[in-house]
This record gives sequence, C-alpha cells and structure tokens, in this order.
Amino acid sequence: MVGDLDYRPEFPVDRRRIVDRPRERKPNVDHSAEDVRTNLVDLTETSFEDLRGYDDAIFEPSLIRFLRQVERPRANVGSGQPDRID
Amino acid sequence: MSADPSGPATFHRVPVSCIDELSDGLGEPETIRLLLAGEYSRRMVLLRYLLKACSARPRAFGELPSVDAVWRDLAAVERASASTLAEVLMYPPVGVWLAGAVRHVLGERTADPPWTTFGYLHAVILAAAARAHVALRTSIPVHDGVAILPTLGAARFAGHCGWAVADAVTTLGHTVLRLGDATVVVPVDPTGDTADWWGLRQVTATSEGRTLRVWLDDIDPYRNVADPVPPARLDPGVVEAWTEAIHGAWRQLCGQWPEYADSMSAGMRSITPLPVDPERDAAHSASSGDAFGAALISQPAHSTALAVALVHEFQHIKLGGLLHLAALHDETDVSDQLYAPWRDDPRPLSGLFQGVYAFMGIAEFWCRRAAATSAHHHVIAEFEFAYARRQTGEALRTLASSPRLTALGRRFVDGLRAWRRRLRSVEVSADAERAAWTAAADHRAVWRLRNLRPEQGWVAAAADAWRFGGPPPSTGRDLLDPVSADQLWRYVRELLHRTRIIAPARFARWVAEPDDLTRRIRDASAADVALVDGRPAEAVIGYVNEIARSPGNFAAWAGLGVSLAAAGRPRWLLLRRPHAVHAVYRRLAETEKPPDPVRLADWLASADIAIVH
Repeated sequence: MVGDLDYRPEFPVDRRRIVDRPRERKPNVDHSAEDVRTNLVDLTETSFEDLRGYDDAIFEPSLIRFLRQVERPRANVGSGQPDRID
Repeated sequence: MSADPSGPATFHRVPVSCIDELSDGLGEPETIRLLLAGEYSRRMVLLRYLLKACSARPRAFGELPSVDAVWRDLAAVERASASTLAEVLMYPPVGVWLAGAVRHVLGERTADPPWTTFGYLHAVILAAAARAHVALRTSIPVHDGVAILPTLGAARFAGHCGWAVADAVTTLGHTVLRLGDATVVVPVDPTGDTADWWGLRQVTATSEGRTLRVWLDDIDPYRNVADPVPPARLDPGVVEAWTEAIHGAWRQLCGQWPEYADSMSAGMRSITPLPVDPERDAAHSASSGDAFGAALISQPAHSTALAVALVHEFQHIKLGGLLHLAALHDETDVSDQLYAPWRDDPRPLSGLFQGVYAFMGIAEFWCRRAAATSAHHHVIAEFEFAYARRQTGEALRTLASSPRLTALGRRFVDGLRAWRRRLRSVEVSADAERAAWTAAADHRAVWRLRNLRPEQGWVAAAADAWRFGGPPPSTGRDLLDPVSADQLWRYVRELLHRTRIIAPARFARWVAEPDDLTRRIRDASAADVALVDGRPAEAVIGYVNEIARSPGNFAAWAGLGVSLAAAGRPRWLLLRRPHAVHAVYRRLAETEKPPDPVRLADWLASADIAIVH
C-alpha cells in the first residue's frame, strides 16, 4: 500500500517523445504460446435454430462465469466526486 | 449456417499477440473484432439461458408472443439478414437489458411485472425485422406512452401512463404500431423526428481517413449502466454541441493517437449523454461491462474533455470485453480493499484493475497531447500527464503485487508495466511534476485519514506516553475503517491545481482575495491557495491553525503533511500514517490543550514506526 513518497522536484531523464518511440518487446511473453483457449463456445456462425438445439452442458463452464458476472454487474462509474472514477 | 449442434463445438481463442496489444494500450481493429465476437457469443449464451428460463414460466411474456414465437421470429429474421439481427443484438443497451433480465430470472425483484422486462426482446426482434424488411406481426411493451425500437427510435403515444402493449406490423420496412385507437407509423427514414416518433440519432465523424460512427442515445431505457431510465430527449442545440464536440474529439484522437483511433473506430458504438450533475465540477463519464461499445458522458466543456472521456471509457470497454473471454484475476473473491489514487473509497482488485487500465490510457492521451501542443495547452497537458502517470505508478505496484492474478493476468500486468516504463521516460517540466506529486500525495494522505485507523490500544498508549514524557510505543496494526459513504469529500486542492494551470487569471484573483475563493468553493481555505501557489511555509501555518480549530479536518492534516514536504521539511509520518498522528492528537485533545501537530508527528516518528498496512 505504501507508494513512493520521495519528493523529487526534478527528474534528470532524457527528453524523448513517446510518439517517436518503438514499442518494446514484452520481456515475459512466451512466444511459443500462440493463443489462449477460452471456455466460451464460438456462436458467431451458429443459427438460432441450432443454438436452441445445443446440449446445455457445452455452455455450462462459460455460463457459470457469466451468471456470476451478471449478478455483480460491473459499472465503471464514480462515487460522487469529479475525476475520481475507476 | 452452422454445423450440426451435436458435432464438436468451436471455442473462442485469444491470440497472445492480442493480449499483448491490449496491455500495451492499443488493440488492432482485428483484436477489437475478436472481443466483439466474444461479446456476441456471450450474449447468445445468456439469451439462450433467458429463453429457457422463460419457457418454464407460463406467464413470463404476459400478453406478448410466447417463447416459441420468439425463437421462431429470431430464426426468421436471421434467415433474411443475419448481420442485421446481429447488429441489433449487439446494440449496447441490449447487453444491459439482457443482464437485467437474467438477474430477474435469478430472483432479483422489480416493481414492474416480468413481461415488461422480458418484452424488450420483442422490440429487438421487431426492430431487426423492420431493418431487414422481414414481414412480422408481433406486440411490444409500451411504457408511459413510449414504445422503443432498439437502434431505430421511439414511437410516442400521447396520453398513456404506465405499462401497455402495442400491436406492431412490419412489411417491407413499413412499420406501424397501434395502441388503442392511436397509430404510429415509423418514418421511412427513422433517424428523423415526426410528431409521434423520435429517431435514434447517429453522429459520424471522419478525420484523416478514419471514421467514428456512434449513436447519440437519449431514448433507450437500457442506455444507463443499471436500472431502466425514461427518455431524456436532447434539444437540437444540445445535439449540435455534442456533434461538434464529437467531431473535435475525433480530430484530436486521429491526429495525436491514430492507432488508438483505429481501435476505437472498430469498437465504439454509442454515447449516452449524462445529465449535468450540479455536485460535480468537471465532466463525468461511465460505462458498463454489459454494454460493449457504450460510453455515458456528461456534456463536455470542449472537445479535449470528450476525447479524454472517450479514451477513459474505451479502456474500460476493451478490458471488460477481454474479461468476458478470460479471467485475469480470481473473480470469486472480492474481499480486497485497496487504495486507488482516483477514488475516495477502498476498491476491490477488479476495480483497481479497471482503474489502472483506464488511467494508463488517460496518461498516454495527455502525453501525446503535450507533445502535439504548445503554450497554454501544452502546460495543461503536461500536468494532466504527470498526474495520471504518478497515479498509475502506485496503483500498478499494488496490482502487480496481488497474489490473485491469474497467469494471464500477470502477463497483462507485465505488459502494463512495460507501457508505463515508456511513459516514465518522458520528461515533463519541474512545475508539472511538483504539482502532480503534491496532488497525488495529498489524495493518498486524505484517503488514509478517511479509511484507516490505528488500533485503539496503541492510540491510548501513545497518548499516555506523550502526557508522561515517555517514549512513543511501537506501532500496532492499522485497521480498515472507512468513513460513511455519505461523508463526501471535495478534493479542493486538486481543483486548485487545475485552476492554477487552466485558468491562471482566476487563480491569481483567488491568491489576491482568498475570501473570494472561500465564498465560491465550499471547504477551500487560504492555506490551500498558499500551498498550490508555491508558498508551502505559509500553508503550514494555515493548516496548523485549521487543525487547532477543527481537529477532525482531514484535508487540513493532509495539507500539513504535503506543505511540510514541499517546504523542504518533510514529516513522512504525516503522509504515510496521518491517521495515526490524527488519532493521538484527538485523544489528547479530549483532556488537555492539544500539542503542536508537527511536534507530535516528530515524536511519534522517533519510534521508527514500521509501516504495517
């Protein structure tokens, strides 16, 4: 919880413009892992007729998560003061 | 359209490169489309769950068409134009409605009968059928004379209160609604208004070959983040101001951060104007995890304010979309109570995560704006950049130290840290850095005063030791004990920092006439002006006097700590554990003339108090 409280009125760093800087390669990226499999069935090409006919079990892992999310809806909103919101 | 449902299912996959892009603040349009595809599947899973639950409730839809009819109509519209149906289903308010309807199924009680909630789906299907030129006869809910057709607009039946059901027929795009003797014909161009129709307005802004197309949603009941709200039709003049601001904000984004504009172009769908809140001094905004692509924003004073709000909310939107696909942290435990530098209250890890991501976007926006501007605008952008950068630094450290991050979450946070390292290497003026440090340290000190308290036994022991001239006791534990939520805190000094930079003439007036300030801004003091004006020694005297007059004035305690540091006489205890000094001071004040707070802080610090919290 304790952050840097050093009072440093001057910062001797190089003047660089971020817009000119190349993105650095992530040091921790495992480039052998090309993608992450989720537990959400891809329904973008599924018709409503087929959606109705699917076995419930296939949706269960993602549905449990979604219902938990829905029960605790995430609202990114302030609590009554200006400029201090998540 | 799809394979046999008894066959193997395909699951969404998220390329690592997409996660890295997102943690770097961006997200190629292809990545945003991947998030949108996940959102679509999520809505289908929830819609299927909802319809199955409704089929087990004989009167779920009241007088509206049955569940079987809903499945049949969805399939019919889909056969005619799957993309049109998908566009309506992905309209942001549909996500908010769907979440609310599912909560209803799960047992949440509402004042209105269930069909009034579930029946929004009939309106969704009608709107899609009208747009796809599919013939459909159905009925939809009407509330207080307003029948919503999502993505199209609102039919208005004069003289009706409460809930009712309108019959609706659409043929080849010609749509008619009937309620009793009244008839509303949806205009051929539904974006326009007639005597009984409000079209859903859309604003299209193009700059440097990039286009932002957003609905300016002032009518849909589910445009809010939570409960349904009535329409709040904007006056034409206000619409014009919004349109101008959107064009201006888009020009800024395209000019200063073109890659981000590409990303936003692919994912931002609607802006809901929020009413101006007289309790707030600045623009405010919001978004919902259930409404991918939607931002709720109060009317901006200028296009830069809107650009910042759009970046802020789009960061939330992207992270919300990713979180629907994969967990970045343990979602079952919400017990964390963490310091977020932009909030007065303790936040759970999920909130801190969202806040860090949003404020990283804000920091980069201002960084780029500082690089693209000069003179006055540059000075403002530098301060805002330095401030947001400092805020994210502390919050990122807290986030990175959490044991509740998943492996994917840790990778994402590492990406954020790399992003921040880049921002950290950008130099700003000493004045901007000093103001940013002051504002950030000040906020944290007040947060601690508001939310932490030392153990009472330690307070009593410290007070006794002071009275009898003994050494201060070693520290005890700090306990989390937030003040009541209705004890609002106006962060006046943050406002003053901004005023000094944005409106120097006004600030100079307040320096010359502090009484003018205290008349205009509640809770402001002459010491606040002195601190922000760069006269910390004067501020120290002012805060000591304020504390003597009102020992419970948290802002004065924090101001004292910050002023001493700014004057080159830091008392770190007043910044790190101001709540401890405050508690002992007040205990002593109960029975005797309280001591000088600086002397008390020095004495307590002599125990070499370890930071426990």
